Amino acid sequence: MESLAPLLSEAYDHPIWKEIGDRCLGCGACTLLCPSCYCFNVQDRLDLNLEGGERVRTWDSCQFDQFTKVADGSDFRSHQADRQRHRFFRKYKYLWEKHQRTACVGCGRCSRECLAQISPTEVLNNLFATQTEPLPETTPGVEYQPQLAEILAVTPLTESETLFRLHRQQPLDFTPGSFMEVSVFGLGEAPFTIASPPTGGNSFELVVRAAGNLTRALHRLKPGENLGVRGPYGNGFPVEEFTGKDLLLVAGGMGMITLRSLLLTVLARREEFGRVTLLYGCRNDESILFRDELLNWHREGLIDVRMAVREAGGTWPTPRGDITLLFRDLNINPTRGIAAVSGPPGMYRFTTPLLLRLGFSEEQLYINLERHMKCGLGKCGKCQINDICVCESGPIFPYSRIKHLREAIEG
Amino acid sequence: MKPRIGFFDFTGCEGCQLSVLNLESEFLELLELVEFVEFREVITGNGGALDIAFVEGSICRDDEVVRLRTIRERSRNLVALGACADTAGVNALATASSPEALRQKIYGCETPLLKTFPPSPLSDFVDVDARIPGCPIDGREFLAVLQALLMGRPPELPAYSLCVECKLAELPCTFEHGEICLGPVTRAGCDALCLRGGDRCRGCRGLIDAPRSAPYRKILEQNGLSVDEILREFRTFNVIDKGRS
Repeated sequence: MESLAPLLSEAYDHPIWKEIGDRCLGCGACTLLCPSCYCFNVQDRLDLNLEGGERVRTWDSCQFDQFTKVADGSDFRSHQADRQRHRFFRKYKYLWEKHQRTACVGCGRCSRECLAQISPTEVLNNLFATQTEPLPETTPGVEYQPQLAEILAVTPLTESETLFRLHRQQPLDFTPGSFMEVSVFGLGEAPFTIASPPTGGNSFELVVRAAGNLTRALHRLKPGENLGVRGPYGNGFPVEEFTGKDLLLVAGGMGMITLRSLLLTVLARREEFGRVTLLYGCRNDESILFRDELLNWHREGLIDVRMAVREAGGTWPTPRGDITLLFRDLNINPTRGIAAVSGPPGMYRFTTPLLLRLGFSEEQLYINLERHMKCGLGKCGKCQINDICVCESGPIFPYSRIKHLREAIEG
Repeated sequence: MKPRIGFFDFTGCEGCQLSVLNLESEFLELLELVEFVEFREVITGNGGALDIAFVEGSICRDDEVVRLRTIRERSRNLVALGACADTAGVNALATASSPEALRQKIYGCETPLLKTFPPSPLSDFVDVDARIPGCPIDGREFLAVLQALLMGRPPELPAYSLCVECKLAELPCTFEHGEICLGPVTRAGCDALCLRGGDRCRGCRGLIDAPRSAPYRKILEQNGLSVDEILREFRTFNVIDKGRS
């Protein structure tokens, strides 16, 4: 029974509704004979002398022509296919979700009396058989089960950060800014933002900084070895809304990993976007991520990269100062621009006022609010900021959506 | 002043007017509510202007057309009473052969008094404000339509098929014992009278607004009916191109 609601969730557009809708007579025998169907209409019945009367409930049915008709003549379930689908969704999904009880007792009266021989058992079995998606969660907790991913390549980026290229059986579909949950047997699981662009393929890249037990264990893994992954989760940047616009990317430290996924997405179709400027601030020269890659794109004229580091004495002549330094001689036109900011929350306290002062509106400013996302499913509550769960609603948000959340940036 | 109502009949059996008279327990109460000023079956005389004219029967002669138009002119509301007035009912079967051939067959001669044209519903000649379908009508539906008109709201007929009333009466489906039934496409409102009596539905109340013709035809064919047999089933009360059917 519990598998029916998720089965139907995936089957809203299934051709079977049209097939049974074309067979259905709309007579309502199925619902009228159903022990659990209770939809009703309310009518006023007058006494013959027109002076008194009663208000009565009369049987109604979602299969009838007038059930969803409204005063201007429109009908929001006008085809019999819509009504049959509604009948199944109500029986096995809507009421299940509302009461954790199905509205079908399995008596078979509806199929026995149906002149068109529409049988719920056949319809549901057909849906199970034709469902292309993997079987929905049939046992509690299956959504937490990781799949195996193989390590294809390991590339050290800095002293403590390493790039992993991974491959798994199922292809990945996500937007730049989404994340994967990665686990090592016996040590636990943690979220990592995806560093590669969405290509629809089976492989993807993650950057891991060796910081704790899990990440140090990840650093010990070698190509050919397996680890566990779940995901992708979260909502990233709405790249399609960025086309034709100038992009100002602002990265702080490891926030660059998220923006690399966005940058690679943009570079794959470079001509669809306007000017792309990247402001990147780091602690010191040694902690700059993807330095060569970024400088190559800069030299090729694909993007304008400007960097600053807070600590002096590095191996490169990088300007010294915090990220606000890079805003000084910025020549941009915010009216046709998008700003995408990814870094520690402390950075946003300075960059957000600067960007708003430059003329970006709250809707043009996107912020990465990555937190310690544990379950990735909006359940565990670890990444909750006031009334939202970052893993579900974010981690990428337009500033207008989160500016009222006091724990988002101030905390 | 009580609303003035009248009853009129054209080509038909007057059985629908009888159905009104058969409302014995309600009839006296009805007289408190309205004034019957014209009703050939119970009183004589011509009533002048009317609030509601209930008109029974089909139209099949020129003089009937003239009389119908006179009734329309002096009535605020005109109601088609019964299948003959509503869709031409069984009378429409006459369209199957030529009037000359029919007269010859039935009367054996031609006289000017028998000059008729194919029977037609009232709505072919005058505006009809409301309809009470059925052969004969259902007395309770007559009362409901009358009440609605007296309350000044448009009368509503059930939009669903007879299967609904049949199921609510907990009757077994006739298809179960291999007998075809027009219930799935026929307008409810008779409370499954014929099925309660052990018969099947022959469609006297006409089709619902949106009959599911394609799947229904398939079911009839699966039950062994040819296209001709299907048309014959319908022809009793639902001659194609007559009235609303």
